[in-house]
Formats: sequence, C-alpha cells, structure tokens
Amino acid sequence: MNRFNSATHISTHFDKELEEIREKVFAMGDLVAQQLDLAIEAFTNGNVELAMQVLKQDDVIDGYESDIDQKCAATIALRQPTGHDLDLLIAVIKVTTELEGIAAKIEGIADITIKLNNSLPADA
Amino acid sequence: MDNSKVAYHISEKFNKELEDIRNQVLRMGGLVESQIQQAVHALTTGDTELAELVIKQDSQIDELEMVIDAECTQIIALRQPAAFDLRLLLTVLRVINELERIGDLAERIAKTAIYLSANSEGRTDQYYELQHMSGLVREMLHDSLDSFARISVDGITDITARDEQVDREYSSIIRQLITQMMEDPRNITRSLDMLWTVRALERIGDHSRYICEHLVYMVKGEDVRHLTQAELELKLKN
Repeated sequence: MNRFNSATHISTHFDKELEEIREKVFAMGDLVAQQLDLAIEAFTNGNVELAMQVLKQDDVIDGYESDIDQKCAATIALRQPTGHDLDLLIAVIKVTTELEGIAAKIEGIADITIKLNNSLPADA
Repeated sequence: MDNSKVAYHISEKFNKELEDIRNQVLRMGGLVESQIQQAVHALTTGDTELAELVIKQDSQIDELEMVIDAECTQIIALRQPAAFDLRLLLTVLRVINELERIGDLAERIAKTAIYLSANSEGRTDQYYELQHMSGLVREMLHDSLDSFARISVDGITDITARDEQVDREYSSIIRQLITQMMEDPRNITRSLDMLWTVRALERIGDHSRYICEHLVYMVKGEDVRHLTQAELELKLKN
C-alpha cells in the first residue's frame, strides 16, 4: 500500500526524493498540530507569551511550505513522473497548501489571544 | 522534414492545450467575479432570489475547478513539461484553488444575505461601505486575472498594495459594528451577519493577493509568498 516505500522504481534516487518529501510533509504536519495545541493553550490561559511564540513559529511552517513545493516542482520537472507518482506529488502540493492555510488560521487564534489580553485591563 | 513537421504539430497541439487551460481559468475567474458582485447586490437589495441563484451557481465553480484540475494533471503527465510550461500548470492548480475559495466566500455572503433580509428590519447601515469594499476586492481579483491573461507581473505590486486598503476598510467597518453592538444588544444579530460578510470580503482580498503571488512564481520562478508588501516591492524591483 505504501507507494513511497515500494521498490518498483528503477531509480533509487527517485525513491529517496519521494521519501524525503514525505518526511518533510509529516514534519510540517506535526508542527501545525503542535501549533494548534499551543495556540489553544495560550488562548484558554490568556498566555500572551505563548501566543507570541506561536506567531514566531509560523515562519518555520511557511518555510516548510516553500521548501516542499519547490522540491515537488523540481522532482516533477527532473523525473517527469506519471501515474501514481505524479498524482502523489501534486497531492503533496495541495496538502502543504492546506497545512499552511490551517497554520494561518492558528496564527489568527494567537493574534486574537494577544489582542484580547492586551485590551482586557483597559476595558475592565 | 517530416520529423520537424510532426514536432511542430505536437508543440502546436501542446500550445493549444495550454491556451485552452488558460481560457478556462479566465472563464472560471469571470464567473467568480460575477458571483461576488451578485452576492453583495443580493445582500444590499435584500434580493433573496438572487442570493439563492448565487448559492446554486457555486456548484458550477466547483465543477470547473475539478475539470481544470484534471486537465492540468493530465497535461503534466502526458507532455512532461519543464521550466515555464510546468510553472504555468502548477500555477493554474493554485489559482483555481484560490478561485474556488473565493467562490465559497461569495456563497457565504449570499447565505448571509438571506439571513439578513429576515432580520435587518430594513436597516442599511454600512451598506455603502460594504459596496465600496466589494468594489475594491473585485477590482483586485479582476486585475490579478488580467495579469494572468497577459502573463505579466508588471504592476502586480499595485494590486497587492490595495489589500492594505481593504484591510483598513475592514477594520473601520468592524469598529462601527462593535460600537453598534455595544449601543444596543438588539443590534447584535444583524451586526454579526454584517461582520461575517465584511470578513468574507477581506478574505477575498487576501486570496486575490495570493493569486498575484502565484503569478510571480509563474513568471519569475520565485516563491514570494509570506513577504510583506515592502519586501515584495523590493524583490520585484530587482
């Protein structure tokens, strides 16, 4: 089932490239999940410092997106994959777009946390 | 001679395929532009029939996205394009994704138009501001699609710069709505509906900006996402 690990490619370099891309997508996904936990924790506890940390780490996610996209485009251009491999690489580009979109929304939660806690004393 | 003729035909056919894809993207873009315009019109005039139409038409946009998406993937598989042609096709995949999202936001506005017509009690506060903001984001979208049609990033920073204006208008309307909600809790339902609507328009501005960023990738091969307006201007000057 796991196409990434299958030995059907003649080129082991190609397998290695796909494997690297896969690992990066997982790392990006883990980071986004972690960001969500931190942002919710910051929001519920009114922890502005933690919210700022979430904002800072968003750059790392953006970096992952650019890096993975670029690797996918380069792999499509150089290896000219067809069939499942091509579908996979295009799906990865779409997944990174979704992950970045989720990360941007998490950033929004962190933004709101900061605004909410900075304005509370003034309103009270 | 024969070979070169065959090669010529093949590339001609490939060119036609690319041209066809581009035209379909522009058609999808035109449909999305009209959806925004109709959704906002339905809201400001309380025309629930028009709102229903917008909601119904969203499936056409979804359909176009899937068709273009499948064609792009097929062309990449069959033609194995490189360099600009590949960037064009990857950009199309991204642009139609943005357009589909804008389509969803227009649908959202149309749905809100139906709620509002039931509970706005004939009030039209912020409608002028809403129309102005809608005009701004539609122009951003239109000009970004125009740049896509011309395959040019000349003047692209003028389009992205307008997103800042959109954000300012968004904040200003939100402030008005918050004031109204504080003045009288009976305003809250209507104000929230208005809030979702201006939020949707603000997001449309963002997605139009993203389209511009994708175009820079297509034309220059550079990833300019996540740059500030000033950084983008600096990058494109060089």
